[in-house]
Amino acid sequence: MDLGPFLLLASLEGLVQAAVLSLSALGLCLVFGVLRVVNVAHGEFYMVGAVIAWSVSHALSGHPLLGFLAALLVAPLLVGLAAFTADRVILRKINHNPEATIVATIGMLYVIQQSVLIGFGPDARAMDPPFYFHINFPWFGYSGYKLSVILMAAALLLMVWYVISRTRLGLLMRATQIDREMAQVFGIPVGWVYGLVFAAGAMLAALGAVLIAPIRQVHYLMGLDPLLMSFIVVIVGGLGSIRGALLAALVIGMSDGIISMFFSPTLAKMISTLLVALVLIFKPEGLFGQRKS
Amino acid sequence: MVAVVAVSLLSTKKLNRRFGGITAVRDVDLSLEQGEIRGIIGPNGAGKTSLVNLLSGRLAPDSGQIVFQGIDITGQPAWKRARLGIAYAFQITSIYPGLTVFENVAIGAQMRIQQSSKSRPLPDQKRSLEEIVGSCLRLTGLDWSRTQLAVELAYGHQRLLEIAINLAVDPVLFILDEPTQGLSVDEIEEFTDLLKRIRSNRTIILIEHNLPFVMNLADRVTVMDQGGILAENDPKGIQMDARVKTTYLGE
Amino acid sequence: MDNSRKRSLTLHIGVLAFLFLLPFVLPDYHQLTITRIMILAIFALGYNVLFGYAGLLSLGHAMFFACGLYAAGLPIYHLGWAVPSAFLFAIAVSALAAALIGAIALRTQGVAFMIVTLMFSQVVYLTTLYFSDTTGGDEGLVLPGHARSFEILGMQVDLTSPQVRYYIALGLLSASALIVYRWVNGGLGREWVAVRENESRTRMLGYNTFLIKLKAMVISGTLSGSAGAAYGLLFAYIGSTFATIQYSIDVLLFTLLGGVGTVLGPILGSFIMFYLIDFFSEHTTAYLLATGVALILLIMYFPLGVLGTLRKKWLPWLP
Ligand SMILES: Nc1ncnc2c1ncn2[C@@H]1O[C@H](COP(=O)(O)OP(=O)(O)O)[C@@H](O)[C@H]1O
Ligand SMILES: [Mg+2]
Repeated sequence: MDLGPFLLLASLEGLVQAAVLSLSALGLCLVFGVLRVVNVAHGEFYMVGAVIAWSVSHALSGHPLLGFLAALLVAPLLVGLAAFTADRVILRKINHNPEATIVATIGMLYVIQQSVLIGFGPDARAMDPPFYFHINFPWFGYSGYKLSVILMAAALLLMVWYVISRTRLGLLMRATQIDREMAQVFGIPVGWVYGLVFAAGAMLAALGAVLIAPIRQVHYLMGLDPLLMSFIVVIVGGLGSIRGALLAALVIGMSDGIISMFFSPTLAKMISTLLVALVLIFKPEGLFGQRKS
Repeated sequence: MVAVVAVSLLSTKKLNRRFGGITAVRDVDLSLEQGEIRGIIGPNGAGKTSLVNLLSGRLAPDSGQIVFQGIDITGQPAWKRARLGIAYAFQITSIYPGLTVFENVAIGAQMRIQQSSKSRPLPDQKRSLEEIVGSCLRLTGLDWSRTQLAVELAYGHQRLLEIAINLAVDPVLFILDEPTQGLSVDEIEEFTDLLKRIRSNRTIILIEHNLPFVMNLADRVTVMDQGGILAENDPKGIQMDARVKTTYLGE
Repeated sequence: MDNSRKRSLTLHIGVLAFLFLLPFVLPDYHQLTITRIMILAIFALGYNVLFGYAGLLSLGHAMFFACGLYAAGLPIYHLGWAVPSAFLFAIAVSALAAALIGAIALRTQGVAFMIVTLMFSQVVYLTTLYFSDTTGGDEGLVLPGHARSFEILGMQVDLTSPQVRYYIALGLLSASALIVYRWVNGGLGREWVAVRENESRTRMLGYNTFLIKLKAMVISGTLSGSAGAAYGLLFAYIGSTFATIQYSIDVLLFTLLGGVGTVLGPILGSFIMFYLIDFFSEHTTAYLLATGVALILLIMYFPLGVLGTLRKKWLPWLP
């Protein structure tokens, strides 16, 4: 293949990755922005989303589209419920103390991952895409489903934007984010907002996973990669800045696909991890976030 | 470098600090004499805390110069200034809540012992950590609470504990940021006595809202408003100053 | 005060004496297990200097363990070094690495510090994979025969003997525990606790808090590194599994379980957790479940750990 078509293919793949990454990174970012905690179990919510998607589509015989649509509804709901419960039971008990929360969510990571290992088994499983059609470029054919992932992710992001900026829930959320004590004084049920935001973050990860499940295999360890990538995106985007995170997800998702075509994946990960750590140390406001005074 | 007048312990020149659009400290020239108690008064937001933060090194100035005992300390980190003898009791009480009262003061005493040497030898009766801690606790009347956790002390006692911790490092210049805030009338009276006891060959900056208290103790009073120095005089002079009356004393 | 110090010293020496006598009654299998645990306890002891005393929660201490492991094993494997010099070399390298990483990572605090240490550790792990020609990568390297014994002070030491390994591990653990005990009960310990409890207050008293934290980092990293070196040398194997996040989490867990900010806590925690995981892995492949549950329960109900809780309730003299 020539360089031109090759780059087009790499960009399409990058765009798909960026689409899913922006969903899961947005979830992590939301939780960090409002609760001021890092959810290390975020990737496991993603993994569980994919596992539920597989199970639902497996259980529903008939057209795979039916299973997919059901999964799109069921997976985020179940995951959201689980996350909400975890927040109310565990994180509230430790007052969302940032350091204790990291330890607790590491524990949650193990519990979720290992429970899935017991229930779902160690094998990777494939899920049928909801529909098959190929878009034929002059140089290669491309999966129509993958293109639709980009569109669906964009639509979901728009919905999130609408909720945050136009609804009462979004208002409560932003008020809590800006000043927790003040929000409490004004009678905002901060505890509930925390639980809901934590659940919303997990649901975004689960949604991303449902979209990706028909493309990638479903496996109990599949949560680690999106966790690290989301971490990177949130840090580079400037901790807690939504606009920064989305921009970073786009850039990183796109470039990751392209870079790993040229470098050994280990070296690429090594260098990018190091660079991101240095960003966090020397430029904690991120590369894309606005500088706060 | 400019020659410093012999009696001046600390002097600032054209000190400035902004926060975004607000100028918290504006062109401040301050000069403290060795051994004086200097009151700093002014309405909320006048820049008093910001000014002493610049002196102690918690904040860096945008421009200007600070000279302490003939040394330009403008660029020095807070801990180095503390070693030169500048101590600071915060406006919001800052102690070690999880440690015992004894350990709280011991942390200060340990620094004093480390620092004792050539220019600042320890006095004979205060050679050991225990002795320093003991004397500071007796001075502040906290001796009874040695083994209690600091967090269990009443608010007034916590403020005293912060003073005791600072006394343990035996400061040359002791900055107290609104020490009587939240204290009862009795406690303020005891506090006045305490200050009189600890002032010997120390220079003290006293930021206060309680005017009778500060007028009673201070040798000189500086009035701040909107980041700048509005007036500076002895307490009597300040009370008569027409500008101070109108802008601050509200008469 | 004096009385309580005597009591606590007695307790510590008692624990070490107990470990000294243990092999006389224990079957070989447990001897081997306890040897491993004692080395991991040194790791936890080092970790606790940073976490328990200086209050800095690192999520990447496996990098120091791995650093010692490789710095000891690689010169032996590739250059034919003798065991003692490799061990000393590993300690020096770990100290240097801790100083370097500390100098950079300590510019952050709290959550950022946790993430940064995690990432640095991940970089170390990936490095061991990337240079797998040298390190053996995932599969690791088995150290050659000449590394199974060494001569010191005219004595021949045979590292294939379980007994010898046990007493070397115990010797190292005792030395580490006594060093840590001395430090945390001295001026340095007071400085660490001061920084942990209120850094800005401490700075305003004249302490160079950055330097204090850096000291904790170097001591902690060096102890962790020597644990890694000892592990590699005693069991003649080095591999990149020791650099994984898993090891960083384990050492946190040991410390959290046994008692944050106590000298004996990490040792106790290592014992309990190791046997707990051992027990679980006999019954299920998902033994990491135990780790997860333990982390959650500990942070929720016993954030001070076994000894920390004991100390708070009944034994205030415990260091
Ligand atoms: N860290 C800060 N960030 C932004 N503004 C600040 C900060 N500290 C003080 N200010 C502002 O500087 C001004 C002076 O505050 P301060 O020095 O605390 O006054 P005072 O102690 O006299 O009450 C106020 O307007 C305050 O809002
Ligand atoms: Mg003030």
